[in-house]
Amino acid sequence: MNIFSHISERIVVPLKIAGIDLSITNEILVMWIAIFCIILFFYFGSKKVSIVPNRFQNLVEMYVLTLWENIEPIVLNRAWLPFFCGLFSLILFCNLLGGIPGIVPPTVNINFTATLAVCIFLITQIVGIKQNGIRKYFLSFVPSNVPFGILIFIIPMEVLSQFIRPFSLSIRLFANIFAGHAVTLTIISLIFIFKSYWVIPGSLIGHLLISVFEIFVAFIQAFIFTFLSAFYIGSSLNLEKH
Amino acid sequence: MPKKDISLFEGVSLGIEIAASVFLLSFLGYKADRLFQTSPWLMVVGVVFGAAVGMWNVYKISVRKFK
Repeated sequence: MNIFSHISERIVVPLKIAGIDLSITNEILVMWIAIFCIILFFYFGSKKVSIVPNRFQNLVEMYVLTLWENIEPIVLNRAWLPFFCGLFSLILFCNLLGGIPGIVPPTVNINFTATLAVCIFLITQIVGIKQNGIRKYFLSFVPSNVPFGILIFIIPMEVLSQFIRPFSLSIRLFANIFAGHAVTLTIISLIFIFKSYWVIPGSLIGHLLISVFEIFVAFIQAFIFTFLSAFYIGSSLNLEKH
Repeated sequence: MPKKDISLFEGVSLGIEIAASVFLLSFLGYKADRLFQTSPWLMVVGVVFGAAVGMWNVYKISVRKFK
């Protein structure tokens, strides 16, 4: 039996429209649940806003402000707050839902992380060109005070590093979450491999420790993805300052 | 936020960025080798260029941090 079948996608509702497979998988369902949780989280956090906040309002305010304090020095524009808050929340809630046994988070699927990373790549390019003009934006790939002979190598490297960014963004998030689930499954499956009661305590303690570490990883990876997205978008928005 | 803290998170990303650039370009080189029957030269170029791109990113961040 393949233990990774527990963290692979399964079709829940088969759906085909005009020959295109649009089947709803278990990961898509988890993503919808995560979106629903985010809506509830912010709805109840901002339902009865008061000057002296209650506990839940305090939590939501702290959540948004902590994120914004880290993102604001990079993008320098408050209009980006909802976008980055939404991105962070989506990844975080998806990761955290993966901690519930039996639930496969969409972040263990590279298609999900790659889609997010490609969106960030496109936004970076579009926003950079719109803000600075096409000429100034592409001239920013040419470093100053570099001899002409070296520029022949530097310019392709600069262009390539733009394309490598979405690749590394998607691999980082996918690999970290997938590895956590794979380690958890491996530790639990030791019980079935050795078929001994003596293995159970060690396996369960290992599983508990890895699960706690997974919660930490869920926060860190969501933050790193959001932070690096903000850095890429901020770099293309404010060419002089970065 | 101080500049060094921003570089801290950039530093976290650098390791994977170097690996990703080497992996991606060597993979593209491998595929191009199979297409043009030039094995293993385009893959070698991909590995060298991928490492160069990774190092260039490290250099850029180091310059930004220490200037």
